[in-house]
Amino acid sequence: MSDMKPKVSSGKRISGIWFVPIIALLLGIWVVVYGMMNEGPEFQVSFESADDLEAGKTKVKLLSVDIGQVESVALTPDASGVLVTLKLDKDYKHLLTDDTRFWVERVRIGAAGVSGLGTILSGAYIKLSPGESDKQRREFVGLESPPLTEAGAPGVRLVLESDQAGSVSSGDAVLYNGYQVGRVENMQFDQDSQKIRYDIFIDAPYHRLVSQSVRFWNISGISLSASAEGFKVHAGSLETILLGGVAFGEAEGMPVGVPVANETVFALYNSEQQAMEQPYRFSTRYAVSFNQSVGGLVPGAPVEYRGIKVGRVERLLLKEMAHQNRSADGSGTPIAVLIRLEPGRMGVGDSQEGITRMKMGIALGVGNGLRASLESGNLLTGSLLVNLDFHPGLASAQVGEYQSYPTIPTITGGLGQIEQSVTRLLEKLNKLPMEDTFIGANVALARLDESLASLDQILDADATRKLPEQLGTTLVSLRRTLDGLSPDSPIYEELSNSLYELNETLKQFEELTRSLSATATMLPTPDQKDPTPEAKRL
Amino acid sequence: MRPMLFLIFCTTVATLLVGCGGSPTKTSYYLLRSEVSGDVNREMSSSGINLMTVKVASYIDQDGLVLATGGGQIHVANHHQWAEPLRHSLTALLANQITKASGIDVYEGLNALSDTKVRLDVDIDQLHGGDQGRAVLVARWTVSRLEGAESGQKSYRFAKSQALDVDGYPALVASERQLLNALAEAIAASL
Repeated sequence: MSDMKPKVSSGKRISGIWFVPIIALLLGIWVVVYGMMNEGPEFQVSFESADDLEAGKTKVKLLSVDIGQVESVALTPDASGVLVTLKLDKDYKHLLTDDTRFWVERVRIGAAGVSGLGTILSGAYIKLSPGESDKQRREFVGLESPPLTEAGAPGVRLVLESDQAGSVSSGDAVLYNGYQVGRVENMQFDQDSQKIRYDIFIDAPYHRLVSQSVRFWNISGISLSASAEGFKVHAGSLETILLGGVAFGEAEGMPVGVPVANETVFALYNSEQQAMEQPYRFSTRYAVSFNQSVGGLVPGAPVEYRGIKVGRVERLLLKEMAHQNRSADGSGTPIAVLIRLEPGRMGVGDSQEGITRMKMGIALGVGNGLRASLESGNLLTGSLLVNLDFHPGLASAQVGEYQSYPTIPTITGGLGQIEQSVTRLLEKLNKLPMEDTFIGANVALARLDESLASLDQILDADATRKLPEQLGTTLVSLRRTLDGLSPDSPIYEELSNSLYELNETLKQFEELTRSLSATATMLPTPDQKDPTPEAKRL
Repeated sequence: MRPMLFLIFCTTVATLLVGCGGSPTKTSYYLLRSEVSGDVNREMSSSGINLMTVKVASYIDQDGLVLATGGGQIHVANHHQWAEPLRHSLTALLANQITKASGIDVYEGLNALSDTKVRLDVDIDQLHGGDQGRAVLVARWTVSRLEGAESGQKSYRFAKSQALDVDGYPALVASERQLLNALAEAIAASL
């Protein structure tokens, strides 16, 4: 027989009904977690406007593959643009890197051609251009126009800076020896540097042509320049004439530079001549002040030393002049001109040491009469240039300072010197007592008139009129008198005969004297016979 | 005393009468001129030459003919004289003889009628009778051409002697005339 023990229990048990909500909760959690784990990342891209963008409809595409969608479109807090929220598929979240670019692909008609025709039917979409960075990012600034270079294209991307926008714009070609090797991708105004920045891309393998020694210049349109060196016309290809463009090349005589990296900044010159004129990297600035007209002196005008170009005019220091005190002698404020001197042109080396040597040379030269003057570079165009030369005999001077720039003393030269001389001459003429002189001259002329009137009266007098006749009569008489004394005249003949007779008489008297002297007596002497010439006897 | 004074007076008168009693020697005059041969009646050319000067050495520029007597001595004849000064007669003689020899009219001195481009100057250095029975003539002349390619001066010298045909002064004058004619021909040849 076994012991039978009753089973005792509390009688409190969890109802099975509770499994239902628990399972539901777990399912909910799973759904949420699953959804979160499989949902693509959300990110924001800002655009200037939301044209053609529609929440829930506009797709995000890469290589025509839908990889996301616009979730919402809202204004930025300052209402200066729109903030578009997009969601990307989970599989493509790695594309959201630091240098990923977005733009709205729509129909575009521009100088570079027509693009985005496919969106007429499919509607606009946001195109993604993946970057190469590893850094993830969720906020982007969208491009207003599509990048002209495909993402990841081989080549080098450079930045050009220019003082003026010129006629270069996005899409313009970049040429090397006339062959297109790249394009201008973007242009914008940099408020910090007050310059226009151009993003350009040089395709491979031509990016190897770009080195530190190359110079970029604008070849858009046709450039006609009249400078101190004459007239020059520059033009690129027909495409660049119509659409604009940029060219680059190595400056003659410059050493081969090292290849450049992405985002290297170059200066964009207005012309090839301007670019090639400035192949030197090192330069220093001087200020020269002129007390004469600088009309015809333009930025870029040459600075010469005895005919050799050693620099160029950079600009007029008009802003700085406003802070200068006016001259006390009333001659007005001198016009200050900023010039850039390049030691490489002076043969002292294109280096910082060359600058130091050039400054020392200029300081020494100024003490010995080195002066700057404005000379006429081209009489036809009236262009001026700044000439540096020695002028012995000037008072000693030294390098000064003008608004933090060192200065070179100046003298008036060229046409200005002639102008000043003429001005001084005119001033002297003005100082002459012209009025008194003219009054005196008038009085003198009046007296002369009176004298002439008196002379007329004298000449009109009968006695005066008879003078020529009387004079003629006198001359006739004089001629007759002189004719009477001529060798053919009777008087002359008679005089000659008389002299002959006198001569004969004197001879006879001489003979008598000789005879008396020979005899020494009063007695007659016997007549002496002459010896007879005898013929030679044979 | 009175007979003594009378004697002296008579002696003086006698002496004077004796001295004045001889007949004086007659003086002969000679003329040096060209001989006229044939009739001449024509107008002189204005393009002739000018015989500007004829200089005569001072020892012969006198009335008497000059005769060299040897030993460097000369004798100026008292009774044989030139009819006119030699410088006159020589000018006329040479002018006529040159015209005869060259056919070119020769004007004497500066003549207003002439428009000559050639000037002639003659210098008579010697003209006398020698002790060797010869007459001697030494002369120089200069021809000056004022225009043309041959403009300039040329000088010439002449020296010649001529034997006397017979004794006497007329023969001496005749020889000197021949010498002067020869000089005129030489001058004419140099023009």
